[in-house]
Amino acid sequence: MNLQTLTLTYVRQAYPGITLREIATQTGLELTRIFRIFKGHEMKLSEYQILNTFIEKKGRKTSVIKLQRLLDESLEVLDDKTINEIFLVLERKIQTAKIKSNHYYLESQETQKEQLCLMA
Amino acid sequence: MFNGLTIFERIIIESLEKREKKFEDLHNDTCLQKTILANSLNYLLAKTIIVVNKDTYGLNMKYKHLWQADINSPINVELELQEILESLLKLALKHQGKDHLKIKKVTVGESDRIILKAMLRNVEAFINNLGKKKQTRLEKTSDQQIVVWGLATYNELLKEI
Repeated sequence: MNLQTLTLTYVRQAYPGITLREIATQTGLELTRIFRIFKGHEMKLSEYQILNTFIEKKGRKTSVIKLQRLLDESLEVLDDKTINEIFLVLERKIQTAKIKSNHYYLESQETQKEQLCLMA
Repeated sequence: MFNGLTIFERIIIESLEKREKKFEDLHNDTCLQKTILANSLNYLLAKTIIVVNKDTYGLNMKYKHLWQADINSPINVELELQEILESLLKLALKHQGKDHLKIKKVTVGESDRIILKAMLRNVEAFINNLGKKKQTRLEKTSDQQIVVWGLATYNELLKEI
């Protein structure tokens, strides 16, 4: 299976039942181009990138929905101690991700200001 | 309540425990990426665990009794251990065959169990002795070895799940 066929298969898997018109609307690509690509016309690199982002977007969305479902279920099924364990692990993962990102620096300065205000 | 420290923050505190340092010295001693180091320092400042005097960072000794008790609370120590074990596992899976982490399920007879436990006690005594040796100023905090050892029966593990 070549890269183009693989990408189109991923689009179909990520968005089952989606029409070509809907793909065109959601990606900003022209309907005629989408039609031709799905008929086997070779896609451009820019079109490949757009479709790839479209697939990734869905992937992330699916993960978010799954996570929300799992959290809802955990509140029903798990005891408080286990929920707290998950809470702490999540909190730690977020803390680590923030430290590794460039954005956290500013956020932390805000926290520092708040802390100093509280101590004053 | 500080909600524990990440491994990045821990290494900075351990480095500053030896002596106060400037940013570049901290970078050399911890080998942390500069962005991560800057963010961690800022985070530690916000938590009032460290202080900065001109461009030198040091531990906030004034509030040490507060932050030390918190970061060494059982739950925060457990989180730190979890983080270390998780990283060790990732490292071991990435570089299979190396000595990062070895796990074996094995049936051990009574006499062999006595030998195994004696060997583990020897390892423990050896490591404890290493900890007592004085560090030289040139030894980097990031070069410290993290050693894990121990054993448990399947049954003991199952009870903890």
